Amino acid sequence: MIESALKDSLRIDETAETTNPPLWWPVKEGASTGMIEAVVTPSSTTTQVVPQFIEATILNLLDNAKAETFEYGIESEFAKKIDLWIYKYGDMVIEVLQRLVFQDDADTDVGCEALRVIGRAEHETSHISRLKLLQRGIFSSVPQIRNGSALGLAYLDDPKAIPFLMQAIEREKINWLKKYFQQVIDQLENTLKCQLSSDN
Amino acid sequence: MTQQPTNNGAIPWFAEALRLTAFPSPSAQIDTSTLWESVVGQKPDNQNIQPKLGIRQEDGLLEGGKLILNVQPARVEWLFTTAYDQEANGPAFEQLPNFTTGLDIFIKVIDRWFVKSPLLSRLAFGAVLIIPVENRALGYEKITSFLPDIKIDPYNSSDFLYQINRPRESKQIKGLKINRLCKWSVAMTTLTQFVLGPRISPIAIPESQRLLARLELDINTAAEFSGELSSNQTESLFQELISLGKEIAANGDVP
Repeated sequence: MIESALKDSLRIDETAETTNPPLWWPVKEGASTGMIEAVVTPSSTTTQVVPQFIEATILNLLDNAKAETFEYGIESEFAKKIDLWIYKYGDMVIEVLQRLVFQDDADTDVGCEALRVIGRAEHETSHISRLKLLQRGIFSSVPQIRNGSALGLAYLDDPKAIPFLMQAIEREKINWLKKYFQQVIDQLENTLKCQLSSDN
Repeated sequence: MTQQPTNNGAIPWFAEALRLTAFPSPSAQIDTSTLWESVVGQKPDNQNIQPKLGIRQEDGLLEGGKLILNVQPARVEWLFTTAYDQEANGPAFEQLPNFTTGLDIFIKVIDRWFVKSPLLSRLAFGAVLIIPVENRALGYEKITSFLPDIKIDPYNSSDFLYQINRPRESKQIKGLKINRLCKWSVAMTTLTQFVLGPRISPIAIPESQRLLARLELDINTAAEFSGELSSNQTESLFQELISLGKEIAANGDVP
């Protein structure tokens, strides 16, 4: 009992003297050495703890979206909101979506819509984390998620995904998905050609 | 003109925590259910598994410290840190190994993991290094001996925190950028006991208060790298990351 209580030991940095502390101070948990980290930078690999309000909102949006019908060509309410949250909170939203969309019992329709929005979002600073999430998605055990991820990659239009799509084709057992992956590769190869010709 | 650090290349730091973080390639298929036992050679002391979320945490004692394995869907992390001291009822700070000794212990484990490592897209070596100091001014004097371009009045300053990334290109893998992120500070730590009840009340333990010159290293390959790192590449790359970490710990903040 005492041990578990003491395990929660708190490290107080000198900055505790500040009169204007941030609204949240993520504390590393579990394997923690008790450090308080208030600053997260793109070059950091320490565990990024997402503020609770972001986690709770995204969870809520995914939950409410289960009642929505997603139709081709019609912008869903869910898509608009996720788009806005990516625009406002970038990588932190992607981190949450990565966890929730690939969860075993996640709703696949909502997941696919989320993956499409992730690919389509116009948010440069989260481009790499969105690319990596979608690359991971094409190896999901759930066909709809693989499909949604490939669609997301088509929207993202980054040729760096080509080698992963090629690996995914080799592993894919469903024919129409193989064909779809190939279509996305064809599109990305065209993009690459355009990039190379504009570089020259 | 840049002054040279005054530590003459020696590494005076104690290792509060050492970390390897690996980001598996998107295509990697990983089974981590037997990872701990196959690397450590015995069962963990504690285990926390959340299968739906793909989270696995295991830990156990290792040569006077505590080894922790954290697995998340896109991340595998090995952490070697302070053990719990039953007699002192707190983390065994006094038994911390120096940086080099801690690394020797940690690397033995990591080398066994590399044999089983999947293809990776990113790799990091992290460390929290400390030097106990008697007061804040001495802490600032210690820290500034590693920061040749920083001037602090140690007696009339507080809340100092210096964070910088000085990327370099890898010598092992052409075109791969390595981030050399470090944070320098003087920290005061106090153990706080939480009394569990209807309200959780924290009680600080004054005698546990310590002042530390503190260096946090996060040496990692850049997230922008879009290729895959094989097991062989990973091993030599990790050696390179450690070597860069040692350089900072010995010579301070140099480009």
